[in-house]
Amino acid sequence: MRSEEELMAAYVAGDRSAFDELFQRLAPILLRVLARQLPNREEANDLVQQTFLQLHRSRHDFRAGARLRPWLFTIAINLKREHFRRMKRRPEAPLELDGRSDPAAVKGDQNRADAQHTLGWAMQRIPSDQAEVITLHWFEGLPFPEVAEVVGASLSAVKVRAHRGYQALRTLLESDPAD
Amino acid sequence: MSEPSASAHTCSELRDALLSGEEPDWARVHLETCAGCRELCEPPLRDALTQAALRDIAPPRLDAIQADLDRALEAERGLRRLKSLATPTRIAIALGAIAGLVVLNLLRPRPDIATLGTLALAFPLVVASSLIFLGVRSALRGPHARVQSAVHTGALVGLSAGLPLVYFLSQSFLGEFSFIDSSPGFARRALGCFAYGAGWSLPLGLVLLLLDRNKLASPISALNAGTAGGLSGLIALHLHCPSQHPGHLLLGHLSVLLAMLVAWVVVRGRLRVGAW
Repeated sequence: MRSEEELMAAYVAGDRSAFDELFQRLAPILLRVLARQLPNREEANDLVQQTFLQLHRSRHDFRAGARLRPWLFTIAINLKREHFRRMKRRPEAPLELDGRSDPAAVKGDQNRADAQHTLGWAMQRIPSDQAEVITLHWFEGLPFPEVAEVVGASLSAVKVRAHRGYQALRTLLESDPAD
Repeated sequence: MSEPSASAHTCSELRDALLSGEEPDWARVHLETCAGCRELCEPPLRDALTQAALRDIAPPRLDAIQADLDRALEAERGLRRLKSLATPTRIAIALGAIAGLVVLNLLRPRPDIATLGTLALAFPLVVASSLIFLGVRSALRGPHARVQSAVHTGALVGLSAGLPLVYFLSQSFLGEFSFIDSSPGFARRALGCFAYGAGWSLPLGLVLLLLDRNKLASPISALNAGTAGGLSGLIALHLHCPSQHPGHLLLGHLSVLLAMLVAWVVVRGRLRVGAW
């Protein structure tokens, strides 16, 4: 199986099917990242589409030897920030990637739904730059150097954001969201 | 959280182990050496993060997104293909438009060009072109690039407006001109130069719109584009108008830069709401 970077190189060389394969591989991941911070499915879908449109337009800017995933995440994060700036708000509640939002989604058990709901509530109450780092680090499994590359901050700054974000999350989770 | 030195396993591997419900021996070693992961593994954070991450495994439906994307890619034809050029190429095209502007204006130069002196002619061109390069580079940055800071943009706009302002005002001290001009035709000449400068700002503006990939994603992009466009108008005026009267220079020349800054912010607003 070709790596994402090999697929990108093939697309830059004119192989359209490589773009389709990249979309199938990376769109679900991008959708998860964006959906955690957006209030509805339409906005998340729209930003995923815009991200891939920008990947198409920027394909000749992709440097050989660079890793594709952090590069693509940077585009998505920049588009998301611009989206928030345009809307002049942060979302009031994140999109839930569960059966209520998407009937075709695989249904998890009630504990997971509750955990996601509670975590979504807590993630909305911590600073957006901390939530961004936690989403990329924990939920997408990016190592900190790549998270730093994606959000455009230094490695130490990202670690501090994560530390503060996780601390804030724990404090919030120890309180009762219903209060 | 840092990658532990005492453990061969990374934080990402620990995360994967937690998500798969395992707690292998190496995890304990990792947790002893990694304060960040230790923090993550304390309840209630561990349970919430693990459960929420596991719930994410649900596959999303991509058909609608792919259909919209296919339509968008289908529309990337004709002049829209300029947006897909590599960023250095797009910047070179924009700077080529400036070079063309200089050449065309030198075909019918200001009447005193022979007596102006090379330094007096070239120095403003070099300064303005350098600032235009900075503005164009920022306005055309790719969506993967770090957003230019507001301070950086403020400095560029300030320099672009401040340097001509100082130069124009210095004319009233160094030259024989008073700032107030009550001679007939002052307003008409100033308006004429404003129209000339604004007109010559349009080619670069059009080129920037064609090369821009994301509808001037931020106000910073619009300010950079406005600065570059306004400075291109000032270059045209420098090559066209021999007046050294500070009042004329401020009202007929510098006003072009200010008007372009306002115009580009308005243009961006119209683009963002999909009016154009």
